[in-house]
Amino acid sequence: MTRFVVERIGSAILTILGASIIAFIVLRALPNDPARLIAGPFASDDVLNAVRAQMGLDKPLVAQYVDYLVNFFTGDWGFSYGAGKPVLPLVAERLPASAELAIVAFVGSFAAAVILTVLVSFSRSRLLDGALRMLSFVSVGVPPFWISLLLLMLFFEQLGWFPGPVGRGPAPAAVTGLYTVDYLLAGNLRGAVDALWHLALPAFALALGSFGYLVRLLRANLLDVVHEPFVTVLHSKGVAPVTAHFRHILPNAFLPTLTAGGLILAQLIGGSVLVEQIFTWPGIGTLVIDGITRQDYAVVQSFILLSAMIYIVVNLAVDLLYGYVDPRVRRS
Amino acid sequence: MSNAPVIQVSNLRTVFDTPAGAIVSVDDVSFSIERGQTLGLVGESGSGKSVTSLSLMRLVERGGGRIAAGSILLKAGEGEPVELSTLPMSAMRKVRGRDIAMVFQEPMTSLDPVWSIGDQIAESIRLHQGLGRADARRKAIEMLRLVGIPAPERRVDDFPHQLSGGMRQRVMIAIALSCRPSLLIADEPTTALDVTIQAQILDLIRRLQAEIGMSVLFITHNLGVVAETADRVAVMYAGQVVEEAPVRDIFATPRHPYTLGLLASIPGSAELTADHRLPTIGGAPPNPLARPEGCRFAPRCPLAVDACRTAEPELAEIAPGRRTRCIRWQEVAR
Repeated sequence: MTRFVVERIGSAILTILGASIIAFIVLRALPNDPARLIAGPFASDDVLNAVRAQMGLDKPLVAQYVDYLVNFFTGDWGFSYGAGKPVLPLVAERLPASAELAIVAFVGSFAAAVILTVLVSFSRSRLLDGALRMLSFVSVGVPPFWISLLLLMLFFEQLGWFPGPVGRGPAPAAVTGLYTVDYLLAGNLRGAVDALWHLALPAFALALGSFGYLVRLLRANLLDVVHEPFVTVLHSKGVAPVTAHFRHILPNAFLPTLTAGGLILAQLIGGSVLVEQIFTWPGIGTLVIDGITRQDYAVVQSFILLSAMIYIVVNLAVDLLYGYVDPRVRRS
Repeated sequence: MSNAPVIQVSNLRTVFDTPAGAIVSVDDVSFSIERGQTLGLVGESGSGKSVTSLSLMRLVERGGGRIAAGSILLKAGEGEPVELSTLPMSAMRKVRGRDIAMVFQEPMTSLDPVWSIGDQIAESIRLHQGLGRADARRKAIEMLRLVGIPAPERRVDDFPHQLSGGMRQRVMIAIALSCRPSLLIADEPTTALDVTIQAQILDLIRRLQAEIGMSVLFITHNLGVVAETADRVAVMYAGQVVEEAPVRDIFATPRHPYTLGLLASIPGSAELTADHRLPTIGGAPPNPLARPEGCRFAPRCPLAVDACRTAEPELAEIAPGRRTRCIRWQEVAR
């Protein structure tokens, strides 16, 4: 088990290094001269050289990479010329909004997918199964930006049940940066409900695709496990169908879903760019779009590496969790 | 101790309704097993032996089949006989695992991979004997020792993937016997195992059968295994029992041409054909959706006459304890 943990952590570190090389190369491969971007189109060669020297761009590529890596892990993520601030505090300020949106979307889609799929498969009803399959196909197929607009038109413009595309509600005293949690910590239940209200539409738009994907995955896994010989053995022992379904079939079918869940959570944190943009959600998604349009490369570069790291860390967590819940991994 | 058979199956008929029509997998099957005896149920794949066993357990309904006719009378212990074919499912679940237990062909996939073997044995014990967690665990260790798993106190927390096929089949037997059933159905329990392991598992079943005093329905396509384990033999062909007799008589004086054909194709005992091959039974079993009129074996039978093709023969008693479904049984000779 210790060896398993060490191996997984080691491979995670290697993967992060790989991602950092890609993020580094992407920036270097861009046609624009960063020094020219900073110093302006009319700067003299002397000024440009000075800027390059100041940024370390006159050093060999390997040395630049090492500088970049050391800087990143010591908290110097570069300077955003668009925002006029260092990148790290800028990201730190935006990340909780994205995380909160992603977590709500993830918990919602995961819980809904697992509950619906397990109940439908237990019911053995062809009608319900067909309906759930339709729902999952539609969920996977609908583009998030389109469903975002649709949700806004219906629930904000027509019905007025949910707030419009105004980002988050009023800010509570910051502790975690997650508004819902901070309101609850402050004992302000109404504030927490309001924060959830603001989250509802963007989270739904973001969650729909993952919901459909998880339903399809879990349904297929359940169908596979239901036909395993060991299920017949369970029935031959006199085990009740409800016990067989929830204590034997579900844990077996759930394992692959756990892996997919990790991938989805990581993807949701870094991949909500379009939905954030539509709901003017103050997360890292909007920050990246600004960064790209303003050629603010320090921001983009940090985002690439950061989302890769989130992806890898969440997957590492799932791998370790897997080792805990799956005896085949735990004991091997 | 009464002499009533532990299980008495009469005219059992099991049907699968498919879009192409009703498939009668088991047709007019009758047999009984006395206390402590072993009946070998023999036949090739698709002859209906496994569906017969799943019908006794009423597990056939999970696979889309139904018992269309006949009776399955179980007399477990000293109680009154119970009719299983019409028993409500909730009562049937109490019979499963407690009165009738089953060991399956595939030990590699018959255990839940995420449950420890001890928990899987204890599950039956807790379900049918109402024991607490600790007692059930003790009993599970005892069962593991009984089926010959070394260091059972340590192995009880092992997971299936840590065990070999033979060991897993021992665990399956431990699960099946944990509640001391009156009848054990062993559905090809050694087919998936190495030959040396096969012998060990057969020994184990025989030893525990004597210890518990249970009856065994032993399903196999292997006549060698039947010779070693069974007291009586029922041969199935195309969903029917075609011959039933004490094991010695089946081998010495088969009274159905299909049995004769099976015996002739056993390696070692068989006379080779002119080109030094094992003799085979020509042709193939009939399509269950289009079975021939008259005797189902007639199209492959060297003894078939016109009468065989018009009327379906009955399973007739030809001597005490011997039945055959052949009108020309007197001409059948080895």
